[in-house]
Amino acid sequence: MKALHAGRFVLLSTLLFLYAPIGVLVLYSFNASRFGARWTGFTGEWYARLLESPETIAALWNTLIVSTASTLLATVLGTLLAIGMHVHRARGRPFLELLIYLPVIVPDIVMGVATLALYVTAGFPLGRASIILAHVAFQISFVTLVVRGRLQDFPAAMLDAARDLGASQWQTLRYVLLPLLRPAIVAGALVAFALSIDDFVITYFTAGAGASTMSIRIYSMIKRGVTPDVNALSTLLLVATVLLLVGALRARRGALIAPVLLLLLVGCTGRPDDRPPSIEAYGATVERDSLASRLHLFIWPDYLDPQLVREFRDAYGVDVVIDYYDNNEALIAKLQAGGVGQYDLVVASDYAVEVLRESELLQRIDHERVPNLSNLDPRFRDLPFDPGNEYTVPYQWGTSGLGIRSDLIDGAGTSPLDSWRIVFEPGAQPGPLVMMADARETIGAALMYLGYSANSTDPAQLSAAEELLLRQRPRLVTYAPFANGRDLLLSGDVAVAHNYSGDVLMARDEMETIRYVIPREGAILWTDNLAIPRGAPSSYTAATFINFLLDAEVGARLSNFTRYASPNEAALAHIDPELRNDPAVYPDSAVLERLEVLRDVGEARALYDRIWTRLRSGG
Amino acid sequence: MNSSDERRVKAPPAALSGGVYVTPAVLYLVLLFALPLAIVAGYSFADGDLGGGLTLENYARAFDPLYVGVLLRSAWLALATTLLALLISYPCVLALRTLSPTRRILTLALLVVPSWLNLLVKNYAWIILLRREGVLNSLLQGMGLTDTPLPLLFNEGAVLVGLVHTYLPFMILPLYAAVDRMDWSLVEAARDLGAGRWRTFRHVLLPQTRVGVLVGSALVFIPTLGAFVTPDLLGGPTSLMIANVIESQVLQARDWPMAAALSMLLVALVLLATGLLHRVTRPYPAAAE
Repeated sequence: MKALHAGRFVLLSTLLFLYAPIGVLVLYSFNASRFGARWTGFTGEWYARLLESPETIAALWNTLIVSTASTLLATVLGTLLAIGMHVHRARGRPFLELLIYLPVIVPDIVMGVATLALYVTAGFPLGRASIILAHVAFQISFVTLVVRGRLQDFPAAMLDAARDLGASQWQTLRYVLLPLLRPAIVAGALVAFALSIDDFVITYFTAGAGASTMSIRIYSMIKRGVTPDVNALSTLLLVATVLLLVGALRARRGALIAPVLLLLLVGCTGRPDDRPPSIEAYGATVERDSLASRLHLFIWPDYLDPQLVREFRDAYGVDVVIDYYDNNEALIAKLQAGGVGQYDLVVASDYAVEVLRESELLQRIDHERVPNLSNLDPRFRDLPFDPGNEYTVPYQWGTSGLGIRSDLIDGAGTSPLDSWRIVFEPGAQPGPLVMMADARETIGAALMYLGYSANSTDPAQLSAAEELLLRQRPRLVTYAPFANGRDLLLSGDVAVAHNYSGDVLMARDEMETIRYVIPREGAILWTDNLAIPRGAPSSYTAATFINFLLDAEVGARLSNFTRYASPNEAALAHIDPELRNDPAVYPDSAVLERLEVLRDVGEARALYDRIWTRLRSGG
Repeated sequence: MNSSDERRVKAPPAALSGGVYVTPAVLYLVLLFALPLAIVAGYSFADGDLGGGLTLENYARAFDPLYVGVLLRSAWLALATTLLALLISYPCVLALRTLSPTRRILTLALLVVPSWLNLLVKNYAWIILLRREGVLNSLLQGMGLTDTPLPLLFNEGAVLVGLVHTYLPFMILPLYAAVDRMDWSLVEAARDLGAGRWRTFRHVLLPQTRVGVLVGSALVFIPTLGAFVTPDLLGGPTSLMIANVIESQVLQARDWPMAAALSMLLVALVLLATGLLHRVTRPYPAAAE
């Protein structure tokens, strides 16, 4: 009897272990509080916000297209493969077995990298089609395995009977095999569909501009931090999966139709569109016919006011489709790996512009299309990486320093906080700490604390910085992308966050105890720039968008949202006075002296990569 | 090729049409599965770019203690996940047997359903629980068990918990199948003959469920070895696994040859594990080892 109770106890604990985290997630999707574990009341607000987000709707749409198309293709191919092997005994059995089992075994990270390598080598553009093709490659095996499970106990006499009665091969397939196999085919298709929806890694490597699926969307939201929106989106995905499962069990016939119906439903939500032939706005005349219906933008997260996206759409009838990256290296990698020809417009920091120009990935900007260029502060017209704004137009600028939760630090006031000491010296660290998951920023901070240039290429200086960072690592909570670091600061997971100025200030707007400091040893000053990649689908539309952003009022609203400094001189008058007069946003000349702009380090990139890999790999 | 000759004599049109049926899928998999892997294999020997010279240097770099360390950590985490999953699953599966048939099926379904839920969502749920100002810490503080929040997230322990949570159902299912199919009269016989609980387990249960244990272990070990999402979301500065390093070689360092060499090593490890499994699950010869 005791054993019986012990057994049930184990079962119950296991179920609790499996379901409690999911239950908590669902529960918190209804929590009114934006931060922490405190329950402050019930709300459906997060769900309402999701439905308003065009990015979420687009991700849903992409997921349905990708999963439905790949499932249909894989089901046909996989079923034929199973029939060919087990009914018609195709030759080369060991080879076929290998071809079925290997895709199940090979890790998805390898398949993601390999498929991307194929697309790059073959010059195949990344988009939705590239995801679909990659999904089919792993779905076929599962369909075949499920269908042949059914074929193994298939009444062979049925086939003989059909043949004896003079049925052609087609008739046998159509009237005997397929009807008998249908439950297995539907089951295989459902497995394939679920695998496709669930896949993240392979999609992550093969997705192109504007092709983000639900998985990609959830991943990028999680990377930005724990918010009730993610809980709500996750809950919706869980509900959809469970419904799919129940549907599969209950109505085998209807199960396949459900996704198609959903697809039609989402498809019907498109908007009608009536556009004037030429548009005069924001200081420019734009030919309606020359504009594309979509603008694909690749940018850092939380870096463009959604209101402005709506305003641009209302003015020009152009939908801005946005994809995100967390650091310049990811942007460069994506553009080099087939991202060129995908995006109309990207935002790249100073040193990244150098790399992109060197790899000839950018095209010149037609200044005639951008009359508002005259609004630009003269200081930003001849930046070293692009004199005369031939290829780029500055977007925002800022610094990389420290965000501090003054309510969470130990011994506040005993040691000065405006120094890199508080992150690099164990004795001076006032609380839990996060550094940016960005090689140049974090290594640059260490170099500056040591009194070197953040662009150092001297192996001895770099190895001193590496030593410093290795000693610091055990004291870190983690390395986090900047938007996630901002969230960790807000949630109180860290008291000190190495981060970009605007993101800390964005957090300060939500919590008064947060402050931003530029360490006195010096810090990195950066400019983010709009640039049009070579082979952009519509450089005309991109130039129109650049001109729109350079409008005085639009530029001010942009900065009021991002909390970064604007290179747009005409916009300054419209920027919140509080922001305009904040020395953390517009440092005075004494502080500016201590700031350094990142440059491409050329050959020394390999040294930086190696240090970064060592830091991240725990070596 | 005797057997295929025979087959061809017996039913030539069928064999021919078999080829017609399998060709589309075979072509597809050659183009979108085999060819990409071949390209990666090519890159792993490439001197800089494809079409340059051949070199073993990428593998020499991959055997740097730094990367070997990451590989070892990945293998260790995969092994620990497998063992934990086994330790949890075995008593669960035995307990399932004590339930009435309806409850058994229902409970089994509940144990397996989470394997269908999105991986990102499952891991994210642990962030909510484990973070510093998270649910678990506020519970612990509320009960007065700790004054300051514990650092539960962003470390190897969190990764391990996330991995076990993700892959547990893959162990339960084959193990349940094995236990269900077992000849339970042997267990009764052993007990009647005076064998204790441990001896019964060791000499009766375990040998009979060996295939279930091994299949379950493979289903957990293989995907865990190549796990990317869990260490990425729950891991800290020093708990990345090999898949994370491969990703950063492609998307950060843009060093394709290095990413390719590491990918090939990962594939080799996975194939090795699969090969071992294949050997030991063959019905009898393995017993002689």
